[in-house]
Amino acid sequence: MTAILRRLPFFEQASSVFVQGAAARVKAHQIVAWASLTATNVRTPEPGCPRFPVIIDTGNTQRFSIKASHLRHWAGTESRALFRLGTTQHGGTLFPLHAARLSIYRNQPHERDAFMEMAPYLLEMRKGIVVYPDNAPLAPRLPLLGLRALRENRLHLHLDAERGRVSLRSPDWATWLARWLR
Amino acid sequence: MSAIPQPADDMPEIAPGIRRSMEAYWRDLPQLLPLKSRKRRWVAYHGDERIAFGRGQWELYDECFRRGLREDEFYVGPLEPDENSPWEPEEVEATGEGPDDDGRYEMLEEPK
Repeated sequence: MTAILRRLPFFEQASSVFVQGAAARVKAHQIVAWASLTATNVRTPEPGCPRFPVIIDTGNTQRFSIKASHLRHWAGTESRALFRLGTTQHGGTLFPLHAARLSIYRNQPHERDAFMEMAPYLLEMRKGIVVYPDNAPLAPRLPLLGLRALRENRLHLHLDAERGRVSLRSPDWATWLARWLR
Repeated sequence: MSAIPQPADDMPEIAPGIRRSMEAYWRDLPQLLPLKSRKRRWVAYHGDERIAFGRGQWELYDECFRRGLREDEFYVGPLEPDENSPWEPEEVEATGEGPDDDGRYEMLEEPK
């Protein structure tokens, strides 16, 4: 098993995260993880690779969505540096899907904005990520990691809403055994 | 009757080398699906040529780069059934936001 997020907290009140020297608002009950994004020819994020917040949103059926200005200022790349792989249709508008590697940072248990000294977890992105123009009304306010990415990476998300904690991991042999015994 | 979807501003084209490789992948996918195993979850194409199978998407990207291919010359696709070809639009629902708890929800400071 690979633990990616360990008892990651989310809060009943709005909070702030600091990205590239600026504060961004996180609404109450939004689940925030931290990620890096690179072009496909960059094998792993380098130590200085910019890290930015993503909302884990199981009501979102994309893989990963980000608006162009966040891609530029937070992820440190441009959509024109990422080759187009396909198209997504959202609300009557077609948006390009771009090839990119997205890595999720492993949090320290019970901490949202503190990380383990371990390599981040690289997600597969089958048809790519969607980059919204800044002027698109549907552009997400903060980057979103959707259910399609969790599903296609076969991840297990555990939500303890009572305590406001989330865990995310890849399956292990015990998962398969338990499934087989059921 | 539903309206025809409109492309967003500045929609780039799919590179011809990627598109040719996608078409070969899509053509061969029905024959490849029975070959799926733990070690064969993904496949890479360079034009009509099947480059390799692999466990993961990024190991096949790395294999294509190791062979000297450029990013716009190949495609890596999953050995998974799909209703739509890679170049057809996927329709999505996107939410991501709840109510503004105190009336403020935009970034406190826009990036420079």
